[in-house]
Amino acid sequence: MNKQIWLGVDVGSVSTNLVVLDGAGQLMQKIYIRTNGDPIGSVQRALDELRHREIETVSGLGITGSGRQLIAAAVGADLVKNEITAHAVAAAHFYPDVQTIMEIGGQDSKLILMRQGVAVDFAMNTVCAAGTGSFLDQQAGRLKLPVERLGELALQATNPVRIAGRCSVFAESDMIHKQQMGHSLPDIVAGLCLALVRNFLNNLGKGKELLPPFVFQGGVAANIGIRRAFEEVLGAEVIVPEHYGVMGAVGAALLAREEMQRNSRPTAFRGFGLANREIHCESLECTYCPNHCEVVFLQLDGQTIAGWGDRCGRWQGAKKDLRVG
Amino acid sequence: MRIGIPRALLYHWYGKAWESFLLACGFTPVVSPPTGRRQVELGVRAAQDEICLPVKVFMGHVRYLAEVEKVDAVFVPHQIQVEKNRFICPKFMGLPDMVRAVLPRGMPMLLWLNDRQRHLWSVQAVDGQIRRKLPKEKIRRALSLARQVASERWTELAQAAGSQNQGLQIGVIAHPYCLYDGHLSMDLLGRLRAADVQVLTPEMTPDRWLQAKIPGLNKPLFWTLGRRIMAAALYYAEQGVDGVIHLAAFGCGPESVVGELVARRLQEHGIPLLGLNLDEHTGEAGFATRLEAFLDLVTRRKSCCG
Amino acid sequence: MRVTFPQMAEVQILLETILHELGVETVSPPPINGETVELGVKYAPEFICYPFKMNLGNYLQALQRGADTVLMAGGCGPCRFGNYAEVQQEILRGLGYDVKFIILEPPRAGAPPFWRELLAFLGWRRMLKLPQALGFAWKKLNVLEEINRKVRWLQPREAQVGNALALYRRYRRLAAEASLVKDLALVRESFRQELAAVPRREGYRPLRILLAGEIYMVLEPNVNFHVEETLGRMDVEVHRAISISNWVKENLLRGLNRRAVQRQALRAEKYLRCFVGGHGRETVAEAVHAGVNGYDGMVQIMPFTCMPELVAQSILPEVGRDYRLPVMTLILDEHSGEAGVCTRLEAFVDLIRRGREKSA
Repeated sequence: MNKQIWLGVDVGSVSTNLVVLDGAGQLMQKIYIRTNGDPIGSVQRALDELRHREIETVSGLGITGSGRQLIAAAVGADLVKNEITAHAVAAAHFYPDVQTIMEIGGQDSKLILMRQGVAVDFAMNTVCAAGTGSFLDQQAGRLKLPVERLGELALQATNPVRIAGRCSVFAESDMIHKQQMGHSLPDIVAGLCLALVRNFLNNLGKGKELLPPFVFQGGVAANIGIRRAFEEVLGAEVIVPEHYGVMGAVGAALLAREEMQRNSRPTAFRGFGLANREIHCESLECTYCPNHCEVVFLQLDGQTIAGWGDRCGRWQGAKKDLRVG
Repeated sequence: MRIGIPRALLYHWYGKAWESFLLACGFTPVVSPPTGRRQVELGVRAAQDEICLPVKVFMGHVRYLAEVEKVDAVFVPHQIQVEKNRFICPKFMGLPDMVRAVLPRGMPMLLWLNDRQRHLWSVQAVDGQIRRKLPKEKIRRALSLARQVASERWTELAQAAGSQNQGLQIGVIAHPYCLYDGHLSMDLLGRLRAADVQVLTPEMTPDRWLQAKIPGLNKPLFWTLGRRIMAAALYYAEQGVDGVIHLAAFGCGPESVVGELVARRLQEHGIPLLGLNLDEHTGEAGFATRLEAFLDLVTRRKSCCG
Repeated sequence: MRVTFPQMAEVQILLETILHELGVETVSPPPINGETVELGVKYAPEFICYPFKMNLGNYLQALQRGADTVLMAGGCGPCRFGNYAEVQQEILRGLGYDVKFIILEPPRAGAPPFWRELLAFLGWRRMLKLPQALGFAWKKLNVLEEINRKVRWLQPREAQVGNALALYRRYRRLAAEASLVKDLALVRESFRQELAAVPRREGYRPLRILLAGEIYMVLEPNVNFHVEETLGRMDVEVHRAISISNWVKENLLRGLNRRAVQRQALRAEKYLRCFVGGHGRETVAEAVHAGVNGYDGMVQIMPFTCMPELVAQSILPEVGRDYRLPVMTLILDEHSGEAGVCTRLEAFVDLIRRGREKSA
């Protein structure tokens, strides 16, 4: 078997992750870049960085994350998958007997139930921020703490306070209240972690059978306080994978490998040279019919290569040959 | 046989009567303790997230009875209609089936079914499991006792619950299972009483008002509780109350409609309205602050405008 | 008199057809767009269900375009829909619009019966023309629904993506514009021929997913993020029993469709013993139907705080377990985003597909 290289990209709202897997699915490289509202730019930067790390020819590229459609059109992807499937595949790759996956990212959180290596049920929340990483970021900011320190601080708690709150605004006001009552900082931080975990399990885990082994991944898995809180509430050990922050990208790469091995065709990847080419988007509100769709065009070196956002198909050119799913 | 009665939903109207009925039938009724954090937590964990708080609390009481009290069966009121052509709400109609999802497997439910054909204290309302076992005469006697207890409860509820002095008069509109549940209502009635306020409740609204046609609507409201709230609000306005407090549960369907209609009517009458929305996350501090501020506002308004 | 009505799937085409036949001037609201949502959310009570808000937005847009009368259905509970018109009326009048509501109430609601309301609205002369207009509109509705149904079947099977949707858009417009029974028959005939001529992937067996839930959210593509098209694009064959014609049969012609209603009740009986308003019991019955008939999955769609569907949602896991039927619930309102909905749908389809591959 000649040497294979699989790329996986996870374009999230907070971070853009890129991983390189070898033919056996082992992680060779990972790159983590803050998206900062510029998904195309961050992917270009990630590719540029990889170019300097002597990567040979790429066998295939998979993309996931909330920006997947845009980046797939720009970069030339062999496979576009939603984050839920990507996370499930990645966790099952490292832990074949996993039964429950908790994923907490910047803007959303997911709970995936697995049986015999296959996802059987899932839940995802995007409405409420009280179960996501940005909520922790905010609160850390309010407490004037770097978010990385929250975890160790939570471990020092002796008596975690009870923080109520369906949404981040209420939780915040309750937290301020607790501070003014004179509770210690570690107790408040630990209470915060417990509140997040409880919200997560109440919102997403409702009526679901949560069985071990538990795998906890996503950016927030770095926070040991949250992990402890999960272990406390679930009453079982919670595994945090080594590459917890880039599991989505790993899943995308694995899925690309699966896809390409099924129907052998050359990769659609446009190459690392993309980093230096000009990619940008233009949008307009189509006034052709009363639907007033917001249409986006993607341009590569000044040439329109794709358009989407319209309901009628008028503007969609390059996208037509791409089956999603 | 120990039969658990959840102290939730329309228990606050009919509960005493159900107890007497079961007792007279020779069972041992076990009523769950007043709502506390325990029942709320049990219920919140069991019920779908979007369901209204009172139903979640009901589930919590059911689980408490089954898991802590270890009763032999749970009494579940399945009250579709307690008066002609009016419903309580869809969740009441689906209650037994939603409870089944929460109960431990094999735990029997004793239903109390009220619908178009089966009136409140009729023999048909009694669960078949009881009807088959006991002589009809015994059930009839138990029912007539229950009816008597129920009417005593009504009299009790209809009596003025606040101070009789000439201070503030506040009308409260709320479903009975929010208002008379001290934990859910954050003891609203007690707080008002402590503030020396004379309180009017929907249960004190004369029957004449409850049955009257509601002006401005093309057809009668088809919810028993919603209609009572609407009628009560109009009665309060007529009585010239100083303010109205509307206590509603988050996610209550009928309240979103009736609340809007009530708010418009009260605005026309120039009566201040405080809307308090309850869910499992409501903080007591915020609740007390809003209530205090509202009472201040009403008092000041009264003293300056006469 | 310039009449408007809420937007909901084929309802607009249907009502426009009827009213034009009768010579009544209509002002259709534009398709639901950002402005509709904004207006509806702004003036409706906060915790009312989503369809109410969209209706209200529709009316406001139509009133701005010169409408002065709203045609709307009523109900006798326990679902909130039965009181929509009452509250919407008060809100619009409160905003200063001089608007007349014609509310078609079912007989038991305790309001004047619908035919009297209709007579006052149309007058005898038009009333006599009504049966013919209704008959034509009914035929048109059947053609529209046939087009939809067949395209949903074709979409996952077509050899080249896009043909089915193009066909759908073109023929939907042609059917909507047809003004004679003869034209309608021609449209149907030519649609069938073109459909048969579209090249297909031979032997492909797509996943079959049943769509159920609250009727407005299931049927109106502009509020459910075009769920049928989206699933179709994922090579899924979408089925649904909910349709405008079935609603008419069940609600307006109850006597004619009693057997279907009883069948639904029977199917759901083991899980839900009585009617719970709206389409709650139907949703449970649909799940049983999907389980018995070996569907690959079911998607329940409902607006936030919908009472009947919440009851159904509490019971669906049990049905799903008994029949090993994957069920997903989408709760939608003005806060839902297209990305989130699509991701969920994709993941759901993946879950079914990967599960099937594994077991195969």
